[in-house]
Amino acid sequence: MKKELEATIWSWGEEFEDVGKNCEKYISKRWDENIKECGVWILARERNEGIIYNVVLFVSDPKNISDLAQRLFYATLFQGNTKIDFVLARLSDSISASRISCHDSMETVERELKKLGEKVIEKFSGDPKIRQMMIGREVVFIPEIDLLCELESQLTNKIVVEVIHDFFPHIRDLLDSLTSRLIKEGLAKRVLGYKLEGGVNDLKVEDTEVRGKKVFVWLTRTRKVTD
Amino acid sequence: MGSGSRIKQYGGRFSQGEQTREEREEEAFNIIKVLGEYEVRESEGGGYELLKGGEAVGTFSEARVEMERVVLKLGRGMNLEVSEKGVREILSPKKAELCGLIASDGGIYIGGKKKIYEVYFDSKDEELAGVFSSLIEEVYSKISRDHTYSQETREGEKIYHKPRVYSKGIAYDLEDLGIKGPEPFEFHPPSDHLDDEGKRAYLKGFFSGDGNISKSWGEYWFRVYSTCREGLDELREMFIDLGFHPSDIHVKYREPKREICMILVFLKKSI
Repeated sequence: MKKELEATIWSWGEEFEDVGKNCEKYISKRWDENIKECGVWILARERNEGIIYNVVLFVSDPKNISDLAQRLFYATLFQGNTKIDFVLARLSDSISASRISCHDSMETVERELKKLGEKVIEKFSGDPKIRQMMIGREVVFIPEIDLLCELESQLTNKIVVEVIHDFFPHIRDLLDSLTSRLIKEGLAKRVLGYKLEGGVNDLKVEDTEVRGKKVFVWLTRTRKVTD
Repeated sequence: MGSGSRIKQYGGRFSQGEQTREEREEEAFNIIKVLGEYEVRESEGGGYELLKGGEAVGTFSEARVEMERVVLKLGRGMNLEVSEKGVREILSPKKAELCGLIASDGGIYIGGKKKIYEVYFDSKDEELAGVFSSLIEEVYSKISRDHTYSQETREGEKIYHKPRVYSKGIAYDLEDLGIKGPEPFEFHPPSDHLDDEGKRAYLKGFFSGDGNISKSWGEYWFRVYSTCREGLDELREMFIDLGFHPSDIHVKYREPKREICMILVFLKKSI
């Protein structure tokens, strides 16, 4: 039976250097012979553009986890104007990292996004409520974009970055800068690829706003991260 | 709130000089405002007196007279608002801004074996850390300790500013307003103690930490983020009270027991 244990090992307001210590305490208390992997999740926000992202590293050797957690924390903390909300440790009796695989290039992602935009217009323009609001107005569909990036690492099973925002250039800029930092800090070796999460059928209308001659329609993913 | 004894308490705390009641009765007063059962009068010798049903309930050093209310200065960044509705204790704009800053990037810590009373603010932005320190000084006349946290990275030294103030009085004063906690990310605006000016100041403080303005889709938008949905709901109400039209709460990230939410506010004018 799949077993997963989880704890918040740090949250905003605690001392920065406590990430490793708290992680160490948790690992020493909960790690047993059935545990195959620990995922350290950093939930963060880049505040200048309001980008939500998380950085996850998966490790199977309990000896290295706290040090890596602390290093990953610093690498993320000093990324642009980042605020870290939580750091979580998840212990699993299976290798979760193997379930995540990102092979696309950034160019492929951009092409997929373009197609997604077309499908969004096709699907949601037919929505009776939106059709009503569209009369005499320009509609701006704003789909939430969820992009994963996988990094190869010699120290961990893998590192995965997930970025959520509605403006692709901001996502790309953040990923470029963050992955370069992770490589520079020696946590990752190279970017393996990207993966766009979800399709048009995973989107639903979250909110609408009529402003003069424009209608803004926010589309959110029906399935959020861990669903 | 609003009872005579509570006001007397403020009056007692902030009465000017050592005058006895008899001595004050000999002074000449000018009535400056009558609001329901309350009357505010100014002494020719300086200072203001608040009366309820003709009975003096407090004396104050400063007063601001407006069309529909009088704002009397208390201490520690608090004011007493007197209006037709009665009296209520409100935060000065400086204290409201301080509360907004603490709600976003700060906190109040009371605890530990040696009992620590700490009010803190963490920011990469030196200027913002300076704003926190100067607000602490203006509201509480206390100098904060300006700690910095530096970390050597392969890109050089990175600094985080962490001003802190250690004071039992300040920690409890802010704690009593219920602005932060008990969960580290939890916040609640002290809406019952904020007038419109206070609401604007609170939002300014909160926005400095957890907000951003950006131009997307040809329009300017004001975004506020939080992991505390309840607090964000209360902020949304404040925006509405001030005449803005905030969006619904958008959930940007969700996990069991954790979510990051956002509200958007459309800005009509170009910035």
